[in-house]
Amino acid sequence: MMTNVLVAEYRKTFGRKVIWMLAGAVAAFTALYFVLAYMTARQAQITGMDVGSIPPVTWPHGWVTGVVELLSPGFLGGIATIVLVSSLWSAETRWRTLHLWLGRGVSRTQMLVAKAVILVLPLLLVSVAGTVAAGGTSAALTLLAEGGISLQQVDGVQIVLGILRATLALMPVGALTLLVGVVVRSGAGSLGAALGYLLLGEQLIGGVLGLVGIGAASRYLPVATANGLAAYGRLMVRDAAVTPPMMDAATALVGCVAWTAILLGVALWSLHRQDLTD
Amino acid sequence: MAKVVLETRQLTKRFEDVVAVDGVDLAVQEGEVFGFLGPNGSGKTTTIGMVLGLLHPTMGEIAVFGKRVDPGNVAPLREVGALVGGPAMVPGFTARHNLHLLTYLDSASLDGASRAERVDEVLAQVGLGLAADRKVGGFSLGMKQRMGLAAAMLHRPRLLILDEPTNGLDPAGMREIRGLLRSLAAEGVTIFLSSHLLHEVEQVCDRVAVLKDGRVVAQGRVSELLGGGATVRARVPDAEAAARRLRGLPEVTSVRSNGSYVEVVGLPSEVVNLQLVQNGIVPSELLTQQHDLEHVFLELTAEAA
Repeated sequence: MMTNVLVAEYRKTFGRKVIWMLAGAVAAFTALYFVLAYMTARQAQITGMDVGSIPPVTWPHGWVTGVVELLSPGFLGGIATIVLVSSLWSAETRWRTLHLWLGRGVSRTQMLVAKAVILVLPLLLVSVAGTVAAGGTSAALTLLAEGGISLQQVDGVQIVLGILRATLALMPVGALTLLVGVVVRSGAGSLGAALGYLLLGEQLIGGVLGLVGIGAASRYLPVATANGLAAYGRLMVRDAAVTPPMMDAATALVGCVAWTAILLGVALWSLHRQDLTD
Repeated sequence: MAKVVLETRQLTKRFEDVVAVDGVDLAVQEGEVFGFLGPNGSGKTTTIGMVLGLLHPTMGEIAVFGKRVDPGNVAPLREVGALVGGPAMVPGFTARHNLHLLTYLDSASLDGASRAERVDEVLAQVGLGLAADRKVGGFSLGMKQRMGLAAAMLHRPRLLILDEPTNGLDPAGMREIRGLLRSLAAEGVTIFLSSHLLHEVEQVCDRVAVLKDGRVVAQGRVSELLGGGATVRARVPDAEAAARRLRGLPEVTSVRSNGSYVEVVGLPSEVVNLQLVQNGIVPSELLTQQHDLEHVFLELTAEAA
């Protein structure tokens, strides 16, 4: 039965336009951001202004800017994940497809697990779209300015790993949004609450933890841990000098998996307790 | 004796202080069309929600094909098709796409041709063959109801649970769906039909349960509920006096004075006439009204109130 549910969920999810639109929007935003950052940096150079605050968007460091900065769980990647999960889950409750599947003998556990498993694929699509847009725009801008790029400066294996890390790093945000979606059963509600946590909530919790003397623990909160894993995208560029100290890789990986499992577990517990009225 | 395919025992659902369903006992037998009647807010949809594992019963048990069902165990529902509270579809998908998707839920291993064949067959059965490639989001309410019915029938379930399936259909569409339900019943599919359209239930159902304020106030064969009975209305000079004379007679189940009429249930018109005349009351008019389900329903729900 689980196989049936996974196949049906995959077909339903990938039949939705929102996934492709979101991946396209992430790619377009990344490309636009790169072009604007590049033009701003050029303008600053001409006028002799400080360009220190403008992230590098040319080859090869544009890859890192794209994956670690833009696509990070704390910024565009996280926002895209929240929009995606909120729209997918709230549509299920609004259209009552959730009720239809449950009434056909699909258990709540099977349904939520299938949703979480298949969710990895659109998140991977978003990561690929963002990474390819970052690398491609970076290459195009550099070619335009310098007439050539050196492929030796990037590590192909690390680019693939970077995409996988970025995808995995988005999972805790996805799980958090799914949890909020299950609890509030409203697209606007889950979107607002998850964005609130992403942009404000975790900093507030970090502040509170600092006040009670355990500020270091804030590094292990969901979004911080996810950012810690995504930061390994820096390895895409063969330039060890630009790699700052990062969270231990195993800790970041286990943290992301653990947060995802915990948040999904709570979502499942909540879903099992609910009366699914209209 | 026919096998019971759906059974509820003391099924109760409480929403805070409101008791929506109160100790409902139902037994739906294999192959029958079972009508589930009740006024709006009587607890029909809540009962069905519990049967389908969408709502947690506060108390009581549900068994489908002899296996217990609750929100944590819905596996027995794989042989059930349901249309509850309006159809559930992805509006951006076509009718065909929506049903095709559901075929994967029922069997991931079926080949493409078999899926397409079954989808087309069901769409034709519900009269949506020509709208198969239209997006469901643009369907009328009646078409959506047909889609919901198609989805419920798609996997050839042994039990169909339908909540107001003809809602939104025009009279011709209602008749068509009634015909479809009859043909499904003839094929041996058990149908649990919730409706407030008494005429529809009377035409299609073998047995019915009547729900009022969350309680079953009557359950049995339609013919038993109708009781072959009739109301005799007699126009008399003094209806109160006539009612007094008729009350207490053997076989009389109900006597009511209503203006210049006395209404008697349980006696044929000639006996009513004779009894009145023997008591010095000469009726100027006698009328016999055969009972229909609407009459029984209104009496039952009024009595329960």
